Amino acid sequence: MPVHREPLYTNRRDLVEKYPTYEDRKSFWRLPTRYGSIQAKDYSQEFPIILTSGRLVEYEGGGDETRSNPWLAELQQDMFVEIHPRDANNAGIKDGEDVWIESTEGARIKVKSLVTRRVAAGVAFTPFHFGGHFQGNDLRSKYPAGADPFVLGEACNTAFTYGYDSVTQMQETKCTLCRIIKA
Amino acid sequence: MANMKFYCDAERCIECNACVTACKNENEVPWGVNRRRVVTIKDGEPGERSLSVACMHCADAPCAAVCPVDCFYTTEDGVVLHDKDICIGCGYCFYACPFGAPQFPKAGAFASRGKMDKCTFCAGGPKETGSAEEHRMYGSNRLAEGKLPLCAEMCSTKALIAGDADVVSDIYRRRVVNRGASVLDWGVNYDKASLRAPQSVKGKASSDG
Amino acid sequence: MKLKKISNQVGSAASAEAPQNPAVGTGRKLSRRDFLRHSGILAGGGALATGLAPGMMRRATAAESAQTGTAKEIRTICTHCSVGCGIIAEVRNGVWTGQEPAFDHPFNLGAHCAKGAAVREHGHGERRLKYPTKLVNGKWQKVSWDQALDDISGQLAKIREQSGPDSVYWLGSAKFNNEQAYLYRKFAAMWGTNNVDHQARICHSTTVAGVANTWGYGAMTNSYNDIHKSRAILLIGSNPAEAHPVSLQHILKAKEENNAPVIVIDPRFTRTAAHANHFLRIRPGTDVPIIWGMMYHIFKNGWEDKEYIRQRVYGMEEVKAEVAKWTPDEVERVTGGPENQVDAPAKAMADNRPGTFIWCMGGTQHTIGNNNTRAYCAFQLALGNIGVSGGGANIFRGHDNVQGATDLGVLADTLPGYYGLAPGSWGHWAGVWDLDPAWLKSRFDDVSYDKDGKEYIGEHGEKDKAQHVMNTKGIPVSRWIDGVLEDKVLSPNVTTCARCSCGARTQLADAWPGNEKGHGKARPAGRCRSLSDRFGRHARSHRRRLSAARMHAVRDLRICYCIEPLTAMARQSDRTAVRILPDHTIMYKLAKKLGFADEFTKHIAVTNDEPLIEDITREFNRGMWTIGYTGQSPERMKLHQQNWGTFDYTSLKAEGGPADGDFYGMPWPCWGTAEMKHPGTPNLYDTSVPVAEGGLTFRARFGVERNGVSLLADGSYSAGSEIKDGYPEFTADLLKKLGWWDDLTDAEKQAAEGKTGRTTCPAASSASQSSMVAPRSAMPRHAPWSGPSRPRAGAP
Repeated sequence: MPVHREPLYTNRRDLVEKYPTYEDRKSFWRLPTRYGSIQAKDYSQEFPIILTSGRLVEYEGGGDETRSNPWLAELQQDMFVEIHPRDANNAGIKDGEDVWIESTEGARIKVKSLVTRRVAAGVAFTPFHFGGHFQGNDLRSKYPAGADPFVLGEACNTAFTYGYDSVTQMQETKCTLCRIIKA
Repeated sequence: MANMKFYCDAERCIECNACVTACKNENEVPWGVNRRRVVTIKDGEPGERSLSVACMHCADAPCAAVCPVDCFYTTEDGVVLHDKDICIGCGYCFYACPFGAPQFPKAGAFASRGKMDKCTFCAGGPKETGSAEEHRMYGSNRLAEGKLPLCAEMCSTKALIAGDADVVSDIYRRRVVNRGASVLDWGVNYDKASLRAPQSVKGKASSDG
Repeated sequence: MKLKKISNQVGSAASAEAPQNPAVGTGRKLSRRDFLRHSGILAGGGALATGLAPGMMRRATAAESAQTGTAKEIRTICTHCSVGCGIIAEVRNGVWTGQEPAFDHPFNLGAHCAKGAAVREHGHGERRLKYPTKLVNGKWQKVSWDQALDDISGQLAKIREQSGPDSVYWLGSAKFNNEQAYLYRKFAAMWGTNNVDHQARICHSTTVAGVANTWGYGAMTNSYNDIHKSRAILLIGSNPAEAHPVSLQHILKAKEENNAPVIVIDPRFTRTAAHANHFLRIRPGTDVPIIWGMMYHIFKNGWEDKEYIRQRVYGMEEVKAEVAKWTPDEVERVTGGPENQVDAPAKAMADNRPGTFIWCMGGTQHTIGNNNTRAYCAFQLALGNIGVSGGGANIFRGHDNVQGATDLGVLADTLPGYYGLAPGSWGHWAGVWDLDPAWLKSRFDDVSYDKDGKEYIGEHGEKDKAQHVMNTKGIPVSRWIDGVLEDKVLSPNVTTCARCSCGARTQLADAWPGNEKGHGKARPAGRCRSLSDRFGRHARSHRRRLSAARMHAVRDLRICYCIEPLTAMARQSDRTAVRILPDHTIMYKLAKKLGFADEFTKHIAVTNDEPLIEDITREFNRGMWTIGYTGQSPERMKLHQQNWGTFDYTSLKAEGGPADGDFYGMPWPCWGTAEMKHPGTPNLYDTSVPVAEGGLTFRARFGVERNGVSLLADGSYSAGSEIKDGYPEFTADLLKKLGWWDDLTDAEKQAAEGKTGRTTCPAASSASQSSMVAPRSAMPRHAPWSGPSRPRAGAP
C-alpha cells in the first residue's frame, strides 16, 4: 500500500510524527542505508528553503555533451537557481546576483539567482545539467586540452543530500533543504 | 510567384528553441549572431506565452527604407534580402526594425561591427545560387532546392509555420476553426476552459501557509 | 512596436551585443534567456575569436564538395530523450554536412527540439574528445587505443587478482543501443560481477518497481502517438515542454482536437503548465497525498470504474480505506494544494475518459519514489484507464534508450529480460550463450551471502539461506561511491577498487561531498578509472576532488582514461576524421585483452574487432522470451526504419507497404520468432484486441492467490482468447491441464517439463505460436495492484 512519508530533510516538522520515514537498514543492496536517523534531526530553522531540480530544454543529463555544443551552449550560459521574490527579498538577493546555496550536509554551490514566481515561496529550483565548477571553483583547467565544454557551472547535485528509494535505491534529488545567501 | 511569410502560433509555441538551433545548424551562424530567437512574455507566470521571432520579411520593410546605401532588395518570393558587398554596417536597419532582426558579428560601435546579418528565409543571397560563396556569406538556399526554412520545418509542435502567405493563413485558419469547433463538441473552451479558474493558478506551497 | 525598438536600442548599446530580446524593453524582470546579456558577451566573444572557425571551414569544404560529391542520406534517431525523433543526416565525402527533417517519421514528423535540431554538431564538434587520453602527472596525454586498452586491462587484471571481480564497478549507459546494452551486461557477467548498472537506476527505477509490481511489466503502457486519442491528460512531476518537447506535438493535438483538458501538478509553474488548462501547485515530495486526495473525490462521488475494478483489479478496497484518510483539509495541510482545487483535476479525469497519466522524475526521485509510482497506477486503475487506447500510464523516460538498456539488463539486479538473478536465470542465459554455467560461476568470487528477508548480511548465517554472490544484487549506481566508502563490516566483499564507465559520466554520485561528512570512512586504497566517457569530462575535471576532498581513500589514482566511443549510427561518417570507436568494439577489444573474447562472442561474427550488430540482435532474440523481445529481428527492424512513412501517425500501424500490419518498431511484447510476424504490442494490457494482433492482459507474476482471494482476472480476457478468465504463469502442468501440451514439439516439451513459463518460456512461445492461427492469449492476466508478497514490494 503506497503511503506518504515525509522526506528525510523536511521543514514540516509538524508532519514527521504522523508520516515518518522508514527505519534505517543495516544492509540493503549490500549497503547500510539510513532513513529515520537523518529525519530525526531538525534542520528547518537553519535551512528553511526546499530545494528541487529539473531539466532545461537546451541540455541533457549532466550536460557535458550538450554544453560542448555551441548552438546549445549559447542559449544557457549560467547555472542558476529560481527563487521566489519573497525569499529573495528576505535574503536581500536581487535578480541576477551570485548566490550560495548551502546544503544541510555542508556543501555549497555558487550560482546566479533568477527571481521568479515560477516557484512558490519557500521552494527553490535548480537545473541539473551543469558541471565543471565545484563549490565556487572553476575547474576548466582540469579538462583535457580543447575538450572543455563551452559552458561550465556548479553541479546542482553537489548541494543535494543523502536519501535513497526504499525499493530501488534511487536517489532523492527532488526534495531537500537548503539555505540561500548572497555571495 | 509566392509571398513568403512566417507565422508563429502562440498556443503551440513552447519555447523549445529548436528553431534557433536549426537555424544555426543550417546556416552555420556564429556565436553571438541570432537570426532567430524566442521571446517569452509573462515568463513563469500564468498567461506565459512564447513566440519565435526573426526577420518577418515585411512587404514594406522599414530596414530597406532607412538603409543609406540601399543594400536591401525583395525577391520575387517576397523575401527581404541584402547584399553584404554593399552593406557598410551602419546599424540604421537595426534601429528601424521592429523585431530586432538585424544582427552584427562583432561587438563595438556601429560601423566597426561588421556587415549586417539576418534571417534570409533560407533563400541565400546575391551570389550564385547554391555556391560555396553564397553559403559562406548568407547561409543555405533551401528555397532554391524547393525546401522551406529549416526552423519552421523542424518546429517541435508545428507552431512556427513558413510558406506562402495564403497557405500559412489557411493552415492557421483551420487550426482556429478546429479549436473553436471543439468548444461546441465538448463544452469546454480551448483557451478559457472551465478548469482555468483564475484562483487555480495562484496555488501555494504548504510552507508558506 | 516603436517602444520596443527604442528599448532594444538602449539594451543593446549598453551591452554592445547583438540585438536583445525585445521583451526586455517592456520593463519586466529578467527572464531565463536574458542571462545571455550578462555573461554572453564574454563567452560569445571568446567563441567568436577562437572557436567557430573550424566548424565554418568544415562546412565550407562540405559546401564545395557538394558540387562534386553526392550526398548520402543516413537515417538515424536523436539521442536526447525517449521520444526518439527520426533524423535524416546528409553525409558528403564522409562529413555530416546537413540535417534534414524526417517528415515521414511517425514519432516526430520532422520536428525537433533545440537539442535534436543541433545534433549534427556533436558529430564534428570541436570540443569533442577525439582520441584516448591518459592522465600522467596531472596532464592529459594522447595515447593509442592499444596502449590504452593494454594499460586498462592490465590494471583490471591486477585488481581482479588482488580483490576479486566484485571490486570492479561497471557503469553502462542508456545511450547504448539495445545490442550494446545487452553486450555490456554480458560483459559484466563474464567479468564475474553484478556490480553493473546504468542511468535507469537514477531516473525511472522506481517506476519500473511500481509499475511492474502493479500490472506485470515495467514499461510505459501506451505511446506518445496514442495520446492523440486521450480525452484528458494529467501530468505530475513532468515537464515535457522542456524535457520531451516533441511530445507536446501529440499532447497539444489531443488538447486541440479532443478538447482534452491538460492538467499539470507540480511544485513549479513549468513551461508545460503554461499550456495547461489547470495547474495545481504542491509541495515537493507530496505526490502520494495529492493522488489520494484526488481519489478521495473519485470514490466519494462514485466516479470509479466499478466493473473494471471488479474484473481486473485486486486490492482496491484497501486503497479506498487508505484514501479515506486523506480528507481535503489534510491534503491541503500536507501538500499545500488548496482544498477547493483538488477535486477539479479528479473530475476532469473522471469526466473525460480515456485519460492518460504522465509522470517523470519529479515523482520518481524520492525516498518514497516507489510509493508514488504505485499511487499513480492506482489512480489510473480506479478510473479504468489502463489497457485502453488513449489511456495508460505514459511514463516519459529521459534518454533515448532507458527502456532498452533496462530491458536488456544493464542493472545490478537482473539479467537481460528481467530474468532476475537466480540459478535458473543464469542457466537460461548460459544456454543462450552456449556456455557452461559452471564456467560462468567460476568467473565470480567464490563467496555466498546469507539472506535475511530482503537483506544480505554477510557470510556467517545459516547455511541453507546462503546465496552465491552471483545470485545477489550488486551495488546500484546511485551508490557506487559507497562501494568505496561505506563500512563493509556487514558485507565484506564489496569494496569497490575501480570503476569503468562506458557511455556515461556521473555527476550525481560523485558530486555529493555531503556524504563524506556523514559517514565517509577511510578504506584500503583502490583505484578509480574511467573506461570510456563520451563527454565524461565532469568527472575528470573533478579528479583532484575525487582523490583529495572526497575519495580521500582512493589515493592511487594512477590512471584515468578518457575515451570517446560512438553510439549513434549516423556518426559512423565521422569515424575516419577522429579516432573514435563504437562502444561494442571497445567492449570486444577489452574482452580480448582480458581473455574471454571467445566466450563473449561465441556465436557473434566479429570483423576488425567489431561484433556484428545483427548477430547480437539475433542472439538476444533467442533469449528474451519473458517480455517478448523475440520477434524483432534485425531484418524486420531495418524494414521499419526504411519505411517510416507507411506507419500511421496515430495508431503507429503500417497500412500496406512491406511492413503491413506491424506496429512501428514492434513494441514488446513481440511474441514468437520473427517468422511468425507478431506485429508488436502498441498498448499494453489492451484486452479488446487478440494477443496475436497486439493485445495483452495483465501479467500474473505475483502468484495467483493472496489472503485467500484470487488474484486472477474475473471475466476479463483478450479478444479471441480460449480462456475466459485470468490465468497464472504457464508451467508444464498448466499446459497439460489446459490440453495445450500437445501443441508443443517434443524438444519444447523436454525443455518445458518441470519449469515455469518465466525461466525458459518455450510454453509462452508455443502458446503464442498457436495463437497466430487460432488466437489464444499467451500471457496471464490480472491486476493485483497492491504490493503482493514479492520481496521487492517494499512498502509495508
